[in-house]
Amino acid sequence: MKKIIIALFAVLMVCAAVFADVPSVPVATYDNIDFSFAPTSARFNAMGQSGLADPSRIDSFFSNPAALGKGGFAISVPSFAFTVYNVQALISDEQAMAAVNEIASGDSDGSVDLALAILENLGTGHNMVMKMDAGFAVRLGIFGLGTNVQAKFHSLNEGSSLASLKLVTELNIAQTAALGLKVVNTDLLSVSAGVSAHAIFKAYNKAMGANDVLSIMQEDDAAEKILWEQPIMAGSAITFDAGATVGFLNDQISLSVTANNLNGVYKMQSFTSAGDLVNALSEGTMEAPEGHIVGAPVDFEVKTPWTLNFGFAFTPDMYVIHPTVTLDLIDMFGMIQNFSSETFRASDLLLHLNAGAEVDLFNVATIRAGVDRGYMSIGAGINLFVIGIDATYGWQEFGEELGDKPVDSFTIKFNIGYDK
Amino acid sequence: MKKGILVLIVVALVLGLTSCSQDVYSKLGDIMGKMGNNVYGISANMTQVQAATESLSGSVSDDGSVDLDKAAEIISAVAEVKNSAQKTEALKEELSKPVTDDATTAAAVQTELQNKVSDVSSSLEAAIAAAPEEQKQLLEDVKAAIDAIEISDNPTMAELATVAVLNEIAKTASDVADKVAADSSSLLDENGLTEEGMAIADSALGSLDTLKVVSEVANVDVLGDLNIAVLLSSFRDVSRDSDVETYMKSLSVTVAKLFSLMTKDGEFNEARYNSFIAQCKALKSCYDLAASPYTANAKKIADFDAVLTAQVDLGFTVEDLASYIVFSAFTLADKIAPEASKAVVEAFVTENKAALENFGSSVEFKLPNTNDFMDAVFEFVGGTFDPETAGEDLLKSAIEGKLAKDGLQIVGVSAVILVDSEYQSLLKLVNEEGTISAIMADLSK
Repeated sequence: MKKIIIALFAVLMVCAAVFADVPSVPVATYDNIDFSFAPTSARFNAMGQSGLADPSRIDSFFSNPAALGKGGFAISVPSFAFTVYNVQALISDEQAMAAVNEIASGDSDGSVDLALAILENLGTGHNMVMKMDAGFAVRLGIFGLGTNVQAKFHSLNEGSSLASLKLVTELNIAQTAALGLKVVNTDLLSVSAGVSAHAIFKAYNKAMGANDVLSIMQEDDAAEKILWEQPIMAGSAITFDAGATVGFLNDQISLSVTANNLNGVYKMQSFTSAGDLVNALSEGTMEAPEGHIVGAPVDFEVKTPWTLNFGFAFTPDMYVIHPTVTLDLIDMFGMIQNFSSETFRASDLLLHLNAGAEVDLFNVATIRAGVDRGYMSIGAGINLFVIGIDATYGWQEFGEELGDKPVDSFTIKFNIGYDK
Repeated sequence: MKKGILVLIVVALVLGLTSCSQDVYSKLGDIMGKMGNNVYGISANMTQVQAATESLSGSVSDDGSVDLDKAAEIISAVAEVKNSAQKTEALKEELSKPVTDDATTAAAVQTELQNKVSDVSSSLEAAIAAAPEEQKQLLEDVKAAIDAIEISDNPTMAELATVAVLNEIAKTASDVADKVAADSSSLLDENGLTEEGMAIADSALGSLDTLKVVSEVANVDVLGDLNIAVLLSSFRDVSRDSDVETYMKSLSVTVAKLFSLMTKDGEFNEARYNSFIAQCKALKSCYDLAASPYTANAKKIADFDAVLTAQVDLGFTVEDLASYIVFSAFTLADKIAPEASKAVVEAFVTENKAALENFGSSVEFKLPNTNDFMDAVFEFVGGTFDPETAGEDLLKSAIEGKLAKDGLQIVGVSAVILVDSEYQSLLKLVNEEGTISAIMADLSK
């Protein structure tokens, strides 16, 4: 027994000696960035980020899974969405549009000018450059399955010039399973409930700025430096959405309550580099450069908030045109907490109200409009049997207070599938 | 990947915008901009701003007496509103108003504030006398900032806030001197800032944020008009000299903005100049104080090499570095040759009156004759002004001569800000080793 204890002690000492010289990889967290994940829905965005009580079927996975209670079949293989931010500033910038025209006519010299114009428009604080989504989804009756990949490009600037600007790229890969049941189904009244679970892998880089670019530019192999020397944070979470919908008069009027992003705590680790992350996930498939030191990962958490939301939808049965009006009350807990705040004003209630309207013409063309915390959005869609294209333009608040930093975005989404 | 992303952006923008002229883009931009107005018409909640100004005005009683400790509560109020651009602008507007509308009370407040300034200056004088040699520079600079304050006949809330903030800075600077004298590792140890060190830094940063709200000089964005991206790309491709030239020309906008603060109706104004210098000194003191845990024990420039590998997390950016260098330049010039530097500024403003009124990146300024100024500088540092060796002589003075203490402090604080903004790699562009001692050694050759 004594020999075993001594042997164990010796092993521990050796391990300690080995790891004593391995530096820990510093953790990078960003309070200004909301790391919550939700796939882009052009319809939802065009309607002022409202529509919980009447989401489209594929959207139901992430807004209100109770809509799965309607049953039916839908498939999306695949869908792509691309969102670019600060569009108005770019369009109003003569030099930026000249660069766009140069690139469009095949001249690549304008790419640097365009990139600079995009970065200069980001301003102080948090902003976003763009977002890309790709997804597969299928709905079979009351079950739904989906896979989503999303890349978001955030900017952070504690100063006011390009010199202090830093970029954070966030990657999300999510697998979703959902179930919705209609427990009461009469012409006068229907009650549905649903739940969805999302297994989400998340990774983001340590904010990279002009100073990092400067450092990389001084190296002979910049690509290798980016792959093996830029720290990456990665981890996962299993989050849930739950929803319930009460429908009246053949679901022409619907009321919903949803709890979104439950259990939104990501267990993360810091990695020395993207190459080391890939090796950790794939048991060493990438060859590290000579002299590369793998730091000890540090565990940490990224917490994303859950929200309690109420929705209302009015979708009268009409021939030829199909209108929809939606009203959502967002983040009810936050609203209740505000009641007790010394700085509460009655008008603050409007900050939790999103509203939208949609008119579907002949099941082919759709026009949409909405108001999100007082900022307008508009959108349109075309549905050509298996190909759907939706576009949205709207504004949202990125600042601390309403009016501090309104940011606009343009989204275009392509969908190949069947969704009726 | 980068080109692919840019192509996607172009596709998204070009869809529906092909063959549009710039007029159409402008009109479209206007329509899109109007959609960014809040349809509810809700403005930002200004309750905190109102509370802050009420607290400040509440520190002045009817007989004109002032409670500086109560007035210093503005520092925590600024901390609450600084993340909101609208609230910060509203606070600036409130602070620009007079403390009182009553002329008699205003006169009493002016006298009271002047007395408070004298009291703080006297207490600092005593602290300087008692402080060890290494701590004297910081205290002397804070005292110089306080001595530079001039209170107007109808004091504004901003002036009241400035006196309150400088009073806090004076107390914190004395604290630093006492703590470091008692225990040299009380503010910074091998693990980084101690609790006491963090408290000092937090106090200084809070004061700095408040001065940024009340100070015109702090609002000049020294780097904002400079094309940093062009400069960075020129380091990579040295054949792009024209980009460096463009970058240097954009400096003229910053120069114009700074010198315009010393004018009134386009003419040089001594009171505005004095206010400008006072603000530079106050702002520089805040940076010096915030960095003091890292610089307090330094005896020579080579000691700052350790700062380059330290963990610094004060929230400084490269804009702070540029601003600090500007504030230091004006502060040092005023310290060395106050009358001569004022004369140079007056000459510059007079000779470039039209350019200052119509500034832009295409403007070129005429430099005035600086011989008198340089003569005064060399009278201070010792020696005679020789245009061919002036730079080397001044550098030697900054390293070993009469300007050594000032040089040590400016280099040290600049190093702290450089590290905090994660721009240490800039030093490797100057010298392969990238250390401060190596760069200074090169410059001394």
